[in-house]
Amino acid sequence: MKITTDIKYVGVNDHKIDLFEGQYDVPNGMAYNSYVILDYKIAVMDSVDARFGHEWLDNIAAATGGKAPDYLIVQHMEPDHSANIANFLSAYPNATVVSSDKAFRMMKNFFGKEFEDRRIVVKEGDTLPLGRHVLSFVAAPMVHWPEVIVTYDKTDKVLFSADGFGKFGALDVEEDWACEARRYYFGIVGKYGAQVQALLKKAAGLDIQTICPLHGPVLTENLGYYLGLYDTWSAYGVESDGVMIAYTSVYGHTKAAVELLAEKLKAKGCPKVVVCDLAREDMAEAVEDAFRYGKIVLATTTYNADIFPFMRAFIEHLTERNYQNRTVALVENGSWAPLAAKVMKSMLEGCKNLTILEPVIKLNSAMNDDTKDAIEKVSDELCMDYLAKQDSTANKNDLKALFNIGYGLYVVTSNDGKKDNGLIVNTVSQVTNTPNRIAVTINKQNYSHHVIKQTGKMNVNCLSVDAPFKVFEDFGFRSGRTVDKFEGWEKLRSDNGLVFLPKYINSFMSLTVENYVDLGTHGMFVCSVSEARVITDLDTMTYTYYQKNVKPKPQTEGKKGFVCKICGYVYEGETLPDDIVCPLCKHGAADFEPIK
Amino acid sequence: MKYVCRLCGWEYDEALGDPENGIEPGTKFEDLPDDFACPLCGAQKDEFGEE
Repeated sequence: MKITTDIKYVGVNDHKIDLFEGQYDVPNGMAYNSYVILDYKIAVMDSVDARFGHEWLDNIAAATGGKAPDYLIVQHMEPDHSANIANFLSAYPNATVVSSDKAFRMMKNFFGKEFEDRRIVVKEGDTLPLGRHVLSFVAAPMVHWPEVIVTYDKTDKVLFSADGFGKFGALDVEEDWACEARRYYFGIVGKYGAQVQALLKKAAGLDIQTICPLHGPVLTENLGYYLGLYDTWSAYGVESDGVMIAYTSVYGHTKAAVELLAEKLKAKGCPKVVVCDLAREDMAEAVEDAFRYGKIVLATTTYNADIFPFMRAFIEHLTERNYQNRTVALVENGSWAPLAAKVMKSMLEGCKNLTILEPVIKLNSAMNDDTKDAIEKVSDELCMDYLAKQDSTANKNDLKALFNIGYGLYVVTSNDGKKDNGLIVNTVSQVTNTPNRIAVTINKQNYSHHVIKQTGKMNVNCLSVDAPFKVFEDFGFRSGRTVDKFEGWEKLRSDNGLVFLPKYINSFMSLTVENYVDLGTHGMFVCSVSEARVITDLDTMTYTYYQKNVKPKPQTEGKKGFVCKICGYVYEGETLPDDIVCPLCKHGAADFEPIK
Repeated sequence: MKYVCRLCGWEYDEALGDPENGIEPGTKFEDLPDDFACPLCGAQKDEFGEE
């Protein structure tokens, strides 16, 4: 096989191997690739598996027309590529081995020899001229062994990528690339995402038109496709939309729950549902699918006060490979002392950015109504985006969307002629920039609205992420008509005479009202900017940040009724009045939720 | 004290530091920056173990 005028294929196909790398089922066999570069000097890239030495040496002789190669470039020492190094060097006594320092030390371990008298040690950036062709070497540590180098031929723009971009399957079998390349990648290289990313970064600087890996086909067209997949895989990104369910079921009860869940997912618009019986199907394919999809379900039974062994092995395969960035739902079966969910959660503890959904779907031997309830909830959760995107199932009146608009939080200060006042506002935006106009919208029930309407000026203080809950208590939950909100606060003044806060703000602006818009319940002040100062580099506190990190958990223990989501005020009673106004923060019924 | 990168075997010797990458000799392992990466293979601090 010719790859370019000067580069020829001299590798072999293996259809006899039972398990590749001692563990992978390879129904379509395996290829061990090797290449010859014919130039003023002749170079051979890597060798092949132990059982194919003669065939390989014959291939080389045919490719060179009987001429002796000058160099053997050893990119990778794993025995499926390195086993015939010594045989080659015997067949060609004048040849020189070219490899990395670490590789020579491995040769000493594998063969008892380091070939000091006939070698060139190369490292990142070194080059080897062959004539028209000049090879340059790039270190690829831990892709997937420490000694690995990859080689770039600038003349024909070929990257010899060692095990990168390989796949299972011999070259004389036609099959889809991605599936077996993905199973190969996550199985063999999956742990080394960061190292693959580093290599891809180096490769981005090279003009590559052909990729010659050590397994699988030579890649010559549409390289963006392969590089794109490698980028997604090595960054632990989600490749395909859908849900993968991995299960173990001893007598069929857990399986029944899994089948019901799969049915629900499909009915709710999930574009792809993959179900995998971990005991009976290929484990490496299950691992591949767990990394392919962004949502997985792990269903297993409590076993020996732990989990069923195939599930333990599966989860260990995932965590060893740095599983991250995904959503996981759990199904637990336990006939007397259920522990499976607890064990699975603890196995996944170290994974970055993993969202474990509640509720856990539980079976006590067999499914009951509670199980089916939980299946309904989890399938809704997993299909939330599919349901919302599909015209027939979307809730088109889900006003919770309005909560996602996103806001900063501000203390707006004013003065009524007798004293300073301030309140918390989230509705501040810059609306134009030629000229600069800031719109501040205030509830008419707030005393500040009255003050600003009369005085025509205010300061907007941008709260930074270090503002404590006290700021919200002082300025958000009381009325300035009756109380001096600034008691205990040091007051600094801007040129317009109004207060700006001495701390917890990253900036403030002094505003002069140019237009007023009556919005019924609120008034919108459209203002010009008379003074603006940046105080610190801290980020502005968003409403979301406040909800997650600042607002304390409301005291709802043992109480029956409703809680204000904004400030935590508890309303005790059977029903919430439609027209309720929170006495603390003035928000309405929409911002209350039932105490669970 | 020596620490070894569990991925590739590179050794960090506290006494020697890693001056090529701006780490002074004598810098204790726990004082290495959070984003310290093995100079050979890029592994993060959590992939290191005591020798």
